[in-house]
Amino acid sequence: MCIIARMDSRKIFIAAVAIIAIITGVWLSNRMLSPPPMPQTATVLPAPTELAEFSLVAHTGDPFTRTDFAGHWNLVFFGFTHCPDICPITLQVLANARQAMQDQGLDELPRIVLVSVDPERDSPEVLAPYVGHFGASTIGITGELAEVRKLTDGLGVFFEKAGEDGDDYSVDHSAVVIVINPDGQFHALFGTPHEAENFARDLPIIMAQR
Amino acid sequence: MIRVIASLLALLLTVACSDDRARLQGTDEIATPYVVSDLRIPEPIPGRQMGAAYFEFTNNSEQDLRITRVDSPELQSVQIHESVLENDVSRMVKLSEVIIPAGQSVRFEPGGKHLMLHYPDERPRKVSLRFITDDGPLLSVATVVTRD
Repeated sequence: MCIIARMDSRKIFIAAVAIIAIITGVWLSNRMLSPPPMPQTATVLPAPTELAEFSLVAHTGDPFTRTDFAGHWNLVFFGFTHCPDICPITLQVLANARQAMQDQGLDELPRIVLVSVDPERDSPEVLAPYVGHFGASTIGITGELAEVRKLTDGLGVFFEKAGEDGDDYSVDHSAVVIVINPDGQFHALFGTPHEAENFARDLPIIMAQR
Repeated sequence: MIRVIASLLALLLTVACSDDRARLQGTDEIATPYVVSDLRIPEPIPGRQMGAAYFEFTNNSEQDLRITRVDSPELQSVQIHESVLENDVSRMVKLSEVIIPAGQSVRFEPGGKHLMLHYPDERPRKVSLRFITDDGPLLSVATVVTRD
């Protein structure tokens, strides 16, 4: 009786070990074989590209060159402060996305950068209160038109004055959001329409896969 | 039977009237076939004199309505604009008119049609907007500028 009981408990132990081993194996293989998450809306460049040399000014009045993009992930939008609709809406979407990433507990958060496509009217003094409205992590860049073009041309970003009537004009511009990585390279881009959840979902994936 | 029919008619009238009152909220023109609802005027961003106004314009009449201009005594200027997004390029188009088809509504909303408001240096707390057609002023609406 006692021998039978001992045999049964041995069998039960072996069966339990086997079941645990099978479950662990299935879990590990699922984990190792399942594809890593991919960005759903962002387009990641096959290889990051260097930015062109340019010499601009930040909203603080400090010089801003391509090396100043380094050290941060940057979400870069091209707009202008006389735009009452699309530009503030997009900057608010980016600020909301950053907040969502902070709420997710991410240690590394992107900087939001507005590059003015209307440097004639957008001086650093004009940009400072404007970008401040979207949080301390938002910066504005402006400068000579030719210098802005050096940056935008290299990124394939279009802008052009429209409906000019003295000081009453608009600027047509690309509405994409460019991702510049901490090495200061063009890394990815988000096309329109912009939704905060797309940035909050895809950017952490892009950052983790670098 | 007659009492039942009379009660039903009375109920129908009550529902119809309360619906009209709800739709007319926000306008200062009572009994107009034109209704501006959901009027929202967000405060301009600090340092900027440009802002926007958003709302829904309903034309309950049997004829199309052509709005050619909007003005405001509190603002330097008001322009009818439309933000257009084509192939990832954003354009802001100044419109010379907006047609509100008979029996339909047109929304003025972020990223679409909107009024561009040019504020004076001293910001008004409340803004009124007067909608104008070829026949002259049509109706005025007003609301408090909000922080949002």
